[in-house]
Amino acid sequence: MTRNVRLCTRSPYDVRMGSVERKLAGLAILAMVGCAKPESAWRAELSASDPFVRTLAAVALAELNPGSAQDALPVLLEAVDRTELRLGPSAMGQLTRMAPAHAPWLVSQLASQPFMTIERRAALRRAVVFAGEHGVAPLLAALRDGLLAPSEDIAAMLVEIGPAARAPLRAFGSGQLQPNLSAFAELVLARLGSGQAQQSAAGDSR
Amino acid sequence: MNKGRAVFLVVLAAAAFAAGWALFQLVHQRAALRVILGLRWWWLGPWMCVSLACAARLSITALRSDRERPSRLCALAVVGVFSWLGFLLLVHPYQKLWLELALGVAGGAWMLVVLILDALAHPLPKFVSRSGMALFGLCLAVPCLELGLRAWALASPRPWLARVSDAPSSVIERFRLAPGTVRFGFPCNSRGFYDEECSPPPRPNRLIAAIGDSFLLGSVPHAFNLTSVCEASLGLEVANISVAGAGPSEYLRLLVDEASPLEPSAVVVGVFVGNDLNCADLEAGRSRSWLGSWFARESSLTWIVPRRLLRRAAERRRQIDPERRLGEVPGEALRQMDPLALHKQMPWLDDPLLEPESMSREAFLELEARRALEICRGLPPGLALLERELGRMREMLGSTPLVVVLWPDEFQVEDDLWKAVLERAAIPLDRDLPQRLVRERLERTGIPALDLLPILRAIAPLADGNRHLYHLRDTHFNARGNLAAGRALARYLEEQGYAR
Repeated sequence: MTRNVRLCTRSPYDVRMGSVERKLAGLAILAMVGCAKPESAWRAELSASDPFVRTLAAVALAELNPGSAQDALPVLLEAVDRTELRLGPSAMGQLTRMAPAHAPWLVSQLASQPFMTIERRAALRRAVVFAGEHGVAPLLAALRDGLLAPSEDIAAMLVEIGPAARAPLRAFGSGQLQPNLSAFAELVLARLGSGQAQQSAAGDSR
Repeated sequence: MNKGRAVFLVVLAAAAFAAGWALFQLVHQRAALRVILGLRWWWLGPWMCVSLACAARLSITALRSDRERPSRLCALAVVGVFSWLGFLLLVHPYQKLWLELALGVAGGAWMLVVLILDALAHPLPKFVSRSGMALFGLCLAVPCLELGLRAWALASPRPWLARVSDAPSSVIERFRLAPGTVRFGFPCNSRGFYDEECSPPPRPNRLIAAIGDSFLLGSVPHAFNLTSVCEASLGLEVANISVAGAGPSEYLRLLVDEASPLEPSAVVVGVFVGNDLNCADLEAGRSRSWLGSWFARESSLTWIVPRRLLRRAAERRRQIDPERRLGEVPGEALRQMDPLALHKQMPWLDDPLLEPESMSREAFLELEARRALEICRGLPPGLALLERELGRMREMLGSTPLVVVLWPDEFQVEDDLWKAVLERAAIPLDRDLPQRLVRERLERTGIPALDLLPILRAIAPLADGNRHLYHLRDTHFNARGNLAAGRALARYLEEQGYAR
């Protein structure tokens, strides 16, 4: 009662915090910071029926633990071209982030899905290139096993990966291969060489 | 405590809860939202904190002061309507999570406005309070407009009031022709279909039910329609059960409500790859809640109707013949058609080169390029929906055969148009992809399909190098196209043994 009377005597706009209010606010902030959704909850949401919830979970898992979130990969790939979700750029970014740890899976998708949207193919391609040296071995294995055709696109990917692809390509080319694959390896190596030459020429001119 | 203050406190509590909940979501789901929202995540958090601080201050002042401020609730209406319109404009597609965050932002905005209003000198200058009242009235008019349009759509269904979230039966009612409507001099039957009355079962001859959209409805005189051609070739009844604007979900509804009662010996479903593969799959996680219908662009009539009217106005400006209704095929509005004078009235029935255009070149190319981008780039968005609905139809029909006919889009048949579409799309496209994908899925489910694409491509071009199977800039078959499609369908049904 005394407190109420005292409150009423203050100006309505005098709202300075007392020590109790400050403590409460501090506690609220701490509670908020500690209330992040745990990884297990995100993982459970990967199988939600709502594609938005699924994608959110996959993005979160890729962010929290890119190395061990293999379950999130198919969901991210699915979200890349789902125009109704508009989460494509985020999904593509996370796919790229996870690429070094999961390059074989990405290459297997590239090889096993003949019908794929341009966005999906671009996302996989970008991720494999980003994986760098980790992406080279699965690409070459898929070529050797006939899962991927030695196309211009694959050559371009290897060239984009850059010097990291050179040693595995040399080893690949010197192995027992079909003639077209040996020629392919030589072609890519030549391009890699010329690319390096161009780079050094550009550096000299600068 | 007086009533006004109690209402204010309740609204304040709701706004504070919205801000608090939004802050909780931002923190709780931060691993995903930080990536998806990017920089927005960094300002949304502080905004919610400021909102909560505003809420604390306002609640203290409201409890201590007994002054009533009607401007606070007026501000609520104004901020609410602006937030709603802002959500429609900036947030697409609708998701519950985005709405929760937006409500937090709107709640904070309202509390901030109230604090500013409280800090201003009272009473407010006259011009400020008058313009505030005018704004308040204007803002009240916006939800009233939405409610009015919804009531209108409910009372008198019209195509321009249709929404993507409408249930299939509602779409059918909206687009179905009124019984007796005369098209090309032919009256629609009592069910609103562009065909004669169907003979009720039991009947001496077999009946085939053909379900489809505007492609099957046809935009030619009845005798030239592909179902009539098929009927004449087979010598049995083919019931045309088609509604313009229908999609896979509506086909299922038409099968249940219209075709099944006729007890057909076979059912033909016409799938137009141009628009049946990009239908919104409402069951795949899209919201159909009442709240969603206010906040989803495709469901809000305040968003849809002005855009639709603007598009119509733009196309009307481009139209060459101002007398014709928009999208109307030449001759469609004729009330009476003399069969003898038919070819004089519509000379393009014999010579497609004489056909007048149905829409401007610009609008037509835009439409065709959009369709090509939707279906020829990769997996079309509505493929799963089509597969699911056809599967349901097959289950429902049991031993009655179900046949799917694939109508190709014009850019798949006419090479010149394809070149123009490719130029406009500016990215590589796979011209035959939709047919390949649908055929592959139908083979998997064991539904027989007639793909008209190779049949139409095999037809010899006319003098100008084009095949002229579609009306000029209209996307639907003309008489020549209907004849080819009708004959091919009859031949296929006969070969498969469905006509015996």
